[in-house]
Amino acid sequence: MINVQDIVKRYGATVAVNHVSFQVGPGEILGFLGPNGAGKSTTLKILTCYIVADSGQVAVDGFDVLENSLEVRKRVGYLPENTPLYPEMRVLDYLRFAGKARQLGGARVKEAIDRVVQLVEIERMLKKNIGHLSKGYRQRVGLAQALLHDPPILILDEPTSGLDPHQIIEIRELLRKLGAEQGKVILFSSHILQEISAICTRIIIINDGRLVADGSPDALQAQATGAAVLKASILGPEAAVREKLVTAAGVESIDVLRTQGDSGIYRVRGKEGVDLGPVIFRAAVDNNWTLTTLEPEWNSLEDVYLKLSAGPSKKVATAS
Amino acid sequence: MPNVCTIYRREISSYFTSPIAYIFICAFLVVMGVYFFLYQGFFQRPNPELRSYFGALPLTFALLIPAVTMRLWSEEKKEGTIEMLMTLPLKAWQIVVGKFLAGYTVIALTLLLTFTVPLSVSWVVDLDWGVVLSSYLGAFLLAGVYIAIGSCVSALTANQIVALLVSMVVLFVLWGIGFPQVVSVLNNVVSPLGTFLGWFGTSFHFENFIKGVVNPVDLIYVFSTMIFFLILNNFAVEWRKY
Repeated sequence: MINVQDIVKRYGATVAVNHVSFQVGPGEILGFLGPNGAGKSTTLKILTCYIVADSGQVAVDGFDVLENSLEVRKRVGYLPENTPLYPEMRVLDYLRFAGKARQLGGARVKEAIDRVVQLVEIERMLKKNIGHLSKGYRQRVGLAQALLHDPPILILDEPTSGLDPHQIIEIRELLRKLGAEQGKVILFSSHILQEISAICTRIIIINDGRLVADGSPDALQAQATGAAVLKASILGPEAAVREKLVTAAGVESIDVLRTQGDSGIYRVRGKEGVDLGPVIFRAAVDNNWTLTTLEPEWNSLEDVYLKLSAGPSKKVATAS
Repeated sequence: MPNVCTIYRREISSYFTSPIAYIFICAFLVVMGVYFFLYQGFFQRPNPELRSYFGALPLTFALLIPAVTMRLWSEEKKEGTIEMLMTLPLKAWQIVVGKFLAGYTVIALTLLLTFTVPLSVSWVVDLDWGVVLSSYLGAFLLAGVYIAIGSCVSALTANQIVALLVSMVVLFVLWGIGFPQVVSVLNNVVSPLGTFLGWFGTSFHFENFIKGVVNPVDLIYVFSTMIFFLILNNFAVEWRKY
């Protein structure tokens, strides 16, 4: 549905998007993750024909964004960052305007408005001025506008920023519904990881204009973990446990997480490709310790994200 | 055309749901009325006529039309709504023309309301209605040129005050260079320069309309200038993408 080939976009001396390529297939909900200023918005703006890339090619539903910009724009519903709307207009008038601008004829505009108004639940707000709405309702009006022409592709730039947790959950549910039930391709950006991992079938992490990771949430987790890391609770003298385990074959390193008397929790990192479980079990048996728990410690997705998006710059602070 | 109409209707409703259009219309009528009846001393004149009323239009337009055009694009840029607007499946020229026509409508309405002046003057003086009509035609076309310029300037900045001031200066200069005094001063510097530049001045062409002369040359000037700035406006909008 979306094919991005090697796009570059510069603003003066800064390279906002640096040779980014990716494809999005039908039915995918793609999360665009990255710290603020990583180039997420710029990429989305290129996809929606708002700006033009310096080089590279973008095709949406088979249409090139430069040569067939109108066709692309007809197929995309777009919610820009910060939901820009005309504050002096009433919600209903605004939706009518958007419907007409989308070339929906008289009766179809009404139908479309009825449908999206129900979907995003803004029935009670139709007569109000947009300027008087709360942030959450503004966001919904923006979404309604993006859904009006029932586009096969939805592109949403930080659709949940500035909303309260309750509203965030509602928007997430809505996106999930749109993706799963209506089979829309959804591309949305965020700098909040939980949000993306909660509903996306695929994640793209972008940092400093470069694409640094691309895969399903699970695949990304596995990819970043690499060697196995186990968390073991062992009943035995700390010094001995440390010494024996470090020297055991296949163990790379060991950290003491917590000790209390003879009971301690240790994080054991294995060498690449080693099945660490049996190694620790063997050591415990040989040394007469009691092994109470042994569990894999996946790097949380958060770690993956921080690691990948840290890059050469110090953007980690804004990312968390 | 339906697309132009969609944009046009939104802009018109925006002018009239905010106080801009009303303030503009009042300000324009008050300024012109005070200037003509009090400052020009209409009631003291031995031969009252309307020429000085219409003569004041280019300058009043130059100072007040930017107040109407400044928001056309600057506001969209400032509020970010331009991103929504330009990602709708509309061609840029359709948006440019829709906005232009909306601004034009506000001015046309204002001009229509000034018609009370010739009507009341006609009570005391015999008016040459042909001259009145050609003056109105001239004023209407001149307004079109000014709106095209104002809209174009507005497309270059996200700051409405900048758009306002820059358009005022541009329109003021465009008015001034057609003045006979300015033309002769410039001619003294480099011989045909004043005459050459003067031809582009709005007052130079507008004078004919007030005299009751509708000259094809003036019509060509007016329409080509309008179209030139609309095309420039379109460029300014498209150029933003790169």
